[in-house]
Formats: sequence, C-alpha cells, structure tokens
Amino acid sequence: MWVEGLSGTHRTHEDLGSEKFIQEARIQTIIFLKNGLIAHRTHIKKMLDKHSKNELVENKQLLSQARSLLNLTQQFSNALQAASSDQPLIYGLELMGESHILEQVRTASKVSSSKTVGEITANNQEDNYESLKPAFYKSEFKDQSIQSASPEKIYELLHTANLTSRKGDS
Amino acid sequence: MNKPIQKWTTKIIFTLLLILGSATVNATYYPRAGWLYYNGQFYLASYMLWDSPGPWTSTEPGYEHDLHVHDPNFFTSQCTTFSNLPDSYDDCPTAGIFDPNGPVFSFGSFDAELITANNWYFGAWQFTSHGSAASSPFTLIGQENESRCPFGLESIWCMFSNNSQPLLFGLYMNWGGYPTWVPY
Repeated sequence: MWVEGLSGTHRTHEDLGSEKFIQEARIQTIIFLKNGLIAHRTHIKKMLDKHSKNELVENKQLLSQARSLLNLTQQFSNALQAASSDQPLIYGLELMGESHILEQVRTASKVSSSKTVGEITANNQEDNYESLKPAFYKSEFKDQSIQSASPEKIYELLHTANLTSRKGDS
Repeated sequence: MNKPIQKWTTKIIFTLLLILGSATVNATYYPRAGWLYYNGQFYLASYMLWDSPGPWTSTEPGYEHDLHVHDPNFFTSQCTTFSNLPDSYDDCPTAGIFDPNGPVFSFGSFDAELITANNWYFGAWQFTSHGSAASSPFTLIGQENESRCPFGLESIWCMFSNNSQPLLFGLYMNWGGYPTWVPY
C-alpha cells in the first residue's frame, strides 16, 4: 500500500474473501495511522520541551528537523484522510501459494496483469529496468508551505501542533 | 627563507585537517539518534535521524531497522509495518526464518542513498496476537544491507546484511505496561 509517501503492508494467512481482505486492509491502515499520530505528537512535545525557541529558530539543523516533523504531521493527516475516505491505497498484491491456485488467480477476469518472478528478472538489464512499483512510489512527500515557512513560523506551527494534539487528547 | 615553506606546510596541514574533519563528522550508516515507542500492546514506532548518512560499503546500499524480540512467546503473530523511509519495504515475512535467537521484525529502505541528513524518518510495527510471555528482552538494530537479487528484482528475500549496529539493548518490553518512549 502507498498513501501520501507512506508505504506499508497488510497481510493475511486466513482464508478470507477478497472484499473482506481489502476492507480489513483499510481498517488496519487507519488504526496504524491513528497510533502513528499519538506517537508523533509525543515526539513534537519532547522536542519543544528540550529546546528553547531561540535554539529552534537559530540552529539550522534543529530547524531542518522541526520542518521534517511538521511535514510528517501533514503526511499522517493527509494519509488518514485518504484512508478514511475510500481513496485508493492498494497498488499491488503479492501472492504465495501452490502453482495451480496462482494460475487460477492469474487468469481470473478481474486481474488485468501479472508477472512471475522469472518474468520480472528475465529481461531486465541496466538500460531496460522494469519495476512493479508505481512511478510515484519513490517520490518524497514535501509540504511546500512548510518547506518555505520562516523559522519563526516553523516554531509557531510546532507549538500549534503540540497544543492541538493535547486538546485532542482530552 | 623558511617562511613560505612554513606557510605552505600550515596550509596543507589545515586543509588535511578540514578534509579529515568533514569526512568523519558523525557519518554513520545507522541513525545517529532516535526513539522507540511502545504502547504496551500491539504497536511500536521508531524515529530515526541521521547527521550524515553513510559511508556506504555497497554500491547499491539499503538500510534496515531491526526489532529483535528475544522471546518468541511475546508476539506470536507476524507483523505489518508502515514507514516513510525512501523506497521503503516491509520485512515482516522474513521474521522467525533463520532467526535462531528469536524473531527479528523489520522494515527498511531499498535505496539508502536517498536518506537525507537532519530529516526525521518514521517506521512502525503492528502485531495482532500476544503469547504467554509477560515480558521479553529486545534489541533494536540499525543495519546496512545490499540486494543480491538479479538486477531489477527488489525483494526482501534478497537483502543481506553488510554491517549492523545495536541501537538499544539490555532492555525489556512488558505486556500491558504504560506507553513508553526510549531514546537512543
């Protein structure tokens, strides 16, 4: 799965129908992201507790770290919104099983394309690279408003993120 | 007469010191700092920060963040993971295979050269079942690895360790405990 620059997996070894499996993948992703936000808000609080405003505004390395934390806050928030609103999450499925079962899946009418490991590796050369991942997979999530914000604004946003999350706790 | 020579000598020594200094300032293949968060149940998260990622020993290096839970009766399910590491991968299917000292649950990046300095990275593990162990020793490890698959095939089964560094060790995780943050 890939959403807003965050990638992950959902896996089952139970005999589930495909609809149930896909539904479960979305539910688990939402739980994952909500837990991620809880851990993340603690991280922001710890950074604010450890460093004064002057340190955060004047130290380039700390400022870069602060930007990346705010960027990640936005990333979580966007991903949670996407996962909660039925936007696409799954870009690929990996199947393991006996060959006759895999062949049934491979030839099912709803499957548009598939490749075996042998087919992937057979024709790949340095100048003929074929990846199963979507083109956007490696692109890094960057919120431009955070990247271009002034140091003072970054501190303000960090402080607001911390206050907002504490409000959300109550 | 000796002055020009002294000046040049000073310059050369100074330049050498600068080169040596810049090459060794906190350059590590593993994160220089970070956290491990455990919510006391099925969820763990880790933050990773590099000062200067590298130096890499492979021409196509990967990075892997390994959570070694020593007691196999603590988490009895496989894990799933989420991460914002560049070109990230989930390594949960390999846990417990070739792990004689307890399962190692991991996520990583197929392309460690995309990791940038002073940028907080995140990854998390989620489990679905807990066994009989009330607590377990654990180790968190940073690992530089490389793919030994045929070109073009990215697979977790092809990632082999080149270097590894314990980040947290000698600690226990407790089932049902309070949410805990541990820095490294």
